[in-house]
Amino acid sequence: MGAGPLAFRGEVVLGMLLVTRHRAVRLAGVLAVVVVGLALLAGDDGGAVARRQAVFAAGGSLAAVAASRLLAPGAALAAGRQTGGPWWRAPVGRLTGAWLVVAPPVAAAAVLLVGSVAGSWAAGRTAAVAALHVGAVGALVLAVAPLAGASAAAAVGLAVAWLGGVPPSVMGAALDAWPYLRRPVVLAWNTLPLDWRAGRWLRASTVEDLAVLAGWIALGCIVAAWAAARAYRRPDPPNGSEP
Amino acid sequence: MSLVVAEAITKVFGARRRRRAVVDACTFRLEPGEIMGIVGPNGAGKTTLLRLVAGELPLTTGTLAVAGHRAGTRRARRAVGYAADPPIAPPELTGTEWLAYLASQRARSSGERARLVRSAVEVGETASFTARRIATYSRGMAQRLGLAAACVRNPAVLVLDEVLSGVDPLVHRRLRQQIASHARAGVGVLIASHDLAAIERLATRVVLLWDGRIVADVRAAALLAERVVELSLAGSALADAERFVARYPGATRTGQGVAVPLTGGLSAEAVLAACRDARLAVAASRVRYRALEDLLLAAARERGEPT
Repeated sequence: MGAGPLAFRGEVVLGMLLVTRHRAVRLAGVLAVVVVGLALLAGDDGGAVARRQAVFAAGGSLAAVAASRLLAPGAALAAGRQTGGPWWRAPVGRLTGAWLVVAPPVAAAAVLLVGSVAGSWAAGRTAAVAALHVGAVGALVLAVAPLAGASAAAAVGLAVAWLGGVPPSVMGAALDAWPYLRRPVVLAWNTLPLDWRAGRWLRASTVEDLAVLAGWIALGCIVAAWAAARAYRRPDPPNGSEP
Repeated sequence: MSLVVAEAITKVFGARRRRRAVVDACTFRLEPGEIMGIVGPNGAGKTTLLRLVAGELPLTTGTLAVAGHRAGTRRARRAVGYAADPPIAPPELTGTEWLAYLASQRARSSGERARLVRSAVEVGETASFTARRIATYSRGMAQRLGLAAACVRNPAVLVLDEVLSGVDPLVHRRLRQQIASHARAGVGVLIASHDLAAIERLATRVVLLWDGRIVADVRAAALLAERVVELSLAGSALADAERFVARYPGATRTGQGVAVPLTGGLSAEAVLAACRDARLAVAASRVRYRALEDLLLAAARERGEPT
């Protein structure tokens, strides 16, 4: 293995370690297990759609908390700077590491929940889309963490995971009384990697949905690299301590 | 070629009324094999200066090159091993995992990575605790891991911030030897510390920072070659000590009397004779080598700071 692949593998392993060792991620894992368990206990009420939503909500939550650790201000962010690697290596490598930890259990949950009510083909498709959704939510959180901090980034990801099941039309209707708020919220709802989009892709298999989810992975990594560089340029407090 | 070339570098924090230059127009060079000790009081700008060299902070004005590259660029960062104070390492990881990650950013093969980790563990003497989570380390252990992490990628420049604080005396001595051996191999070392005795033993050159400015830049050998006469004054003479200190450049008050540097042909006998002339009762006297503390005290006195 050459220097480049070895360095990339180092970032992947660091991503996995940062995710698996942090207690917040373990707590999010417990939350995800509870959500999946409740969906299982609910029986066939709501059918495959409700179960898919449970998978996306649980997977998105886990991905949000996991990805918030990857470029969190402090050692994780400073390490990416100090090693002097190419701009893409730390975000892409660490997101890959986090995805390797989070995606398999989410995919397994999808198979478990959807397989029993909609068959193995639907379960497999749900697992694949859930894995992609996890990557997209993780990339979004990764991009926010260097500038806003790990907690704020995780909160954004959790909001995306839990509110993202609401379609933009419903959201727009709910905000009819506040036109100034309605416009940006509906725009965000149409561009962010939300659960409703993953669900729609499963139903309609539109290229647009796939492009938005996959595009967020690329965009998240690019913005994360920019945000990490931006954090370096930001004036620090006079004592020089990390925020 | 100089490893670090700093030309009038300035770092300003804050905006408008709160604007403050923490590093102010500092110019210096660091040559291969040189160990530059940076000393000064709290808030003098030592850590900020080191962070500028390490590429952890951008400059406000001036130019700073590290190993021929502009500080803060990828190539410059790759040339620097930085041990921060407090050490920067993810507390969730073990020391070995952290060193392996850093080594993987430099190594060309798994074998080389393992070799770099082993070598770094030796440098920081971390073998006894490196398998433990970093969160469980004492301050001294974290400092040793910080030194190991700074060395793991075989950098051209070591930037060490208080890396010797909190370690026991025996380890302290061996870490000094490790740093010195890196310098002998051609590595340039910048080390900031409040431990003046350690800097005296380790550094080949000492820079005194005060309010962000370099107020003294001396060769350690030249500094330590100078002598100081220390006079313990009898009780009644202590009142006149301040007036006596003012007569000699660089002279300082001590707890029991005064310390006068023997520079410019001044001898201990001449100082004692001056005491007799001034009717100062000298209880005891001794001649010793000049120490960094004298440099620091003299600088404080020049600025009207309490000593």
